Amino acid sequence: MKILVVDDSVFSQKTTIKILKTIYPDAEYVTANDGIEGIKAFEAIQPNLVFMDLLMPNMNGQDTIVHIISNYPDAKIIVLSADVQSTVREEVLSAGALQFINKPINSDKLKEIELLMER
Amino acid sequence: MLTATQEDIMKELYNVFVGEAANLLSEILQKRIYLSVPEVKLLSLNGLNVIEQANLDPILNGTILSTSLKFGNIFSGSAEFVFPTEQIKYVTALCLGEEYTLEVQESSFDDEDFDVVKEIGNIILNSIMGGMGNILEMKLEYDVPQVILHGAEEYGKTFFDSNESHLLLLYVNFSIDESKVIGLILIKFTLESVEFLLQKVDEISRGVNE
Repeated sequence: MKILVVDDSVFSQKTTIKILKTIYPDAEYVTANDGIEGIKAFEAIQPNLVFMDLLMPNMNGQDTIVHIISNYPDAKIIVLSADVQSTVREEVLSAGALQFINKPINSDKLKEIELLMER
Repeated sequence: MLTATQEDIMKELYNVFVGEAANLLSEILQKRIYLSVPEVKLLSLNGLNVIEQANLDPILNGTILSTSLKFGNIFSGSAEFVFPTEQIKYVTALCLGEEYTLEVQESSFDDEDFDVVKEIGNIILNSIMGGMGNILEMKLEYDVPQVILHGAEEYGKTFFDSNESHLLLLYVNFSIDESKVIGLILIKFTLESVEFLLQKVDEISRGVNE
């Protein structure tokens, strides 16, 4: 299993990977610091799951999701963001993200991800 | 500038938003976090007098670290989380699960410290501004947050010399376990945005009294 974490905060990347390792210990984790790097990494490794921050320099998460989904409609992208606005949540879900999770990721939210992946 | 009712409603709203931020921070730091907003003030930046500026102490002295989040749309301005530098190493150590040794205390700031403080500021400011966006029923567009280390005096000058007309000042009591850290959240708005916000607060007030 390959998991791509796109976030401009290295701290946030590490926190996300640390908690994801509790359910996916054998996954290959790849990180990207913005949307542009995220698209390149996506094309290079074709991950099974993507965790995407929204507010990033160079290319934001929402534009990145639109780009990836238009080229890879089956991509599984989970948004992991500090943004609590309901309009933002609705927009990214209608852009094709599988789920919107508010930072930080915790064990309850992890269960939600597990259930989504089992579907 | 605020009536007693407006101030009461705003204090309640911001306590809810900041309470949400405290939950999120508590999850990151694995510590009990106390965040509260005991005071909300809406001030005109042009008319901000020396006494009011002096009231921003004890945060605005020495060296401070600010995380700023600019927001736009009809409702525009910038929100800043100002944090005393003495606490940065302690907070970073907590976040990274490292021991807070004397060596850590005395080390200089590095990219990792800035990254951690930026994420913390980002979470707090997003909880507050996102909550406001939800109340105002509009989407706030954000720029990428910026973290800057300043001398307090230089920061004060830049901050008060601004294009925005109003300042919403939230004194935030922010403490982790027994360690008291006082943070300050400053939100600058355009005049149009202030009018919009107060209209919404008055609507809430009328709704409660119906």
